Amino acid sequence: MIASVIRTCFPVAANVVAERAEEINKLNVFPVPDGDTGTNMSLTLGTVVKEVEALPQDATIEDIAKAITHGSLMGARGNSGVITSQILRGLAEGLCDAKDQDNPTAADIAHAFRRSVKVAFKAVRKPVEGTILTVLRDMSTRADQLEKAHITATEMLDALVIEAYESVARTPELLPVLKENGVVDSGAFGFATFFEAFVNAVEGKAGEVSDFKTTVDSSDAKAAVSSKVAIELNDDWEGSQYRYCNEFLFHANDESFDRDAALAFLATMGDCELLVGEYPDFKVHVHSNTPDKVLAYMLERGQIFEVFIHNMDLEAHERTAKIAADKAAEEKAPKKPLGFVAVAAGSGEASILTSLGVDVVVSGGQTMNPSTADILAAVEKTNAENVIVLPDNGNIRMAAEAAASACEDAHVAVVPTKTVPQAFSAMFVADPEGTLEDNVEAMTDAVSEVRGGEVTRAVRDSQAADGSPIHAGDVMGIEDGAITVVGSSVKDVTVELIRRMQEAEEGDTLTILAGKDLDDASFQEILDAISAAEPSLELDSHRGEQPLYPIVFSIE
Amino acid sequence: MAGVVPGTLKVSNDCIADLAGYAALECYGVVGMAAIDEQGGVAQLLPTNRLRRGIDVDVTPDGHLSVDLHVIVEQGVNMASVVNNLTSSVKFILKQIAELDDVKVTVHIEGLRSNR
Repeated sequence: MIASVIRTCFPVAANVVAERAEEINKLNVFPVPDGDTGTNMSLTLGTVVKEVEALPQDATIEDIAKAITHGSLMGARGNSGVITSQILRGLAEGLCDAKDQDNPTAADIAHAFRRSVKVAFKAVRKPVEGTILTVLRDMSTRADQLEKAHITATEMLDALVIEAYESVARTPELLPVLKENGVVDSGAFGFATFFEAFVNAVEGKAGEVSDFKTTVDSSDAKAAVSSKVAIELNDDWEGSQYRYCNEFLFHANDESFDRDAALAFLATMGDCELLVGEYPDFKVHVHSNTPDKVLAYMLERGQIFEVFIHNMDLEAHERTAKIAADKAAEEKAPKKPLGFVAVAAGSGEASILTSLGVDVVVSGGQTMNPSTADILAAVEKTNAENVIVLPDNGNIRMAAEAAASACEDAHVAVVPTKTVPQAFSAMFVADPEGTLEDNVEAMTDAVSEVRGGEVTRAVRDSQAADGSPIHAGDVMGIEDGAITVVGSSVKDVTVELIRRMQEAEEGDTLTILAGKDLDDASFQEILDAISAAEPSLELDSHRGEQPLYPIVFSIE
Repeated sequence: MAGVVPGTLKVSNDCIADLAGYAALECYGVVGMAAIDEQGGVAQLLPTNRLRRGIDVDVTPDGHLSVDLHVIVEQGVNMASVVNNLTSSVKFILKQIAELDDVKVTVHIEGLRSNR
């Protein structure tokens, strides 16, 4: 009779899921990797067990269906829990329709699965493939195929267990996030586990269920799943405020053992408390800072065995350290195909360059040229096979070229940028996937279209390009190395320099960097003056924080 | 997603609404997004291409993003669980795709769909 079979076998299957909850938790990467699928499923099933067990021995299938529907609805926790509740409801409703309740046929099972698919898929607008729902549908399709094959209900159930595991093994192919993490879907695996445990209980081989790992070789699908299960992922340990993970089996002394009271006590000891099982044997799990009290309490009420207490803090630290070590080793080992080194003086310039993809920024500029050794060290730091160096100053080019020819570990090329804004333009066209030669060509091209200008103060008397005298303290506008404008204010010189450069050749974009000694208000004033004088020019302004040069800009 | 991409990421509110909407559609138990007919006070199931209408994206005075989802759920599912799942899915996808932390997600169940 279906009703009594479910009544006895459901709790057994639920227990199996509860026992494997941790294992299922570890697979949880979808939809949110919070590692609670197994716990949620077992708690959902646990509520159903309670409702089912509250029924009298002679309960009808309708009563059972109602208890399953109600229990799974009330107890549904998490996404997997909600889905499981709908699946169970559909299955139970479907079984109600079986004509001969004492001898259900393969067709009745197929019908129950059809009903379950209908119910379960109705509750979601866009079902995600590669989850528990896919497994359910695959099982139903298989059931439909076998329906006409004149097999017994038992054979049908066996076939469906195989199909369930095969479908679980396919989930990584359907849901990319699973493949990336090298796992099967946690909910799907949980459901397959539940179904297998249930079928085994029905067929009277309940004992075999817990030997999942040892029965692996009996089925390819199971083996495939099992090997994937072995891959450990994130688990729920990190973040628990309690230090010890306590897990043990408990055998109650007598029937006076009150599991609700025990569970309530465990809850006061910590979190993640779980008390699953059937009188007199239970499995206890709790995260707590006081394992001694947990054990003492349970010892008063029965025997404990197979006690495992993990120090989660310690293990988390060890794992974090190991992950960090692995990561460090990994970072050391493979070289990037292409790296970039640039020279810049200002902190603002450096951060902009970094954001554009420069791996290492060497501090230096007009008055503090970095040495060849400095550049060489930076090239090595990129850990790349090919490195492009942007000297960003005419005076540093020689050092960069020297470093390029001196470097033995990597192919180094120099793109002769004279100013930092030129380096920006060069980085815009850089393609980290491309070859060294192609990049150098593209970047040099980009640089040649950029005309750079700088504004600074004279430190001693000198002469401008056209021979006019310059006095110490005068503001000079420098275009590509030649002093072309001399004046007394940074603003006027900047605007005049830009005007002349625009006259010589019209550009459309102005990249302008404010120096360390130029405050925001003066910078804004200068920007306003430029937009007034050259309305067609598109301004791209940044704080470069370069020393000595209040303004550095480029026009392209 | 390999490596760090240079630049600044800006995500428009409409795009955030779409992301949240797709997360909602994939969330088990959510049948769809709902738009409220102001005059009739009736919730209406929105087609997939107009999910945005059921989602309000706003910035709270303290600078956090708030997302309000108006949904219709299947009758007979545990609403508390579905709302929990939906909230965490939306937060997760916004963190994952738009790099938004501390999103305040509010779910309004505007209706039930009966499966009878």
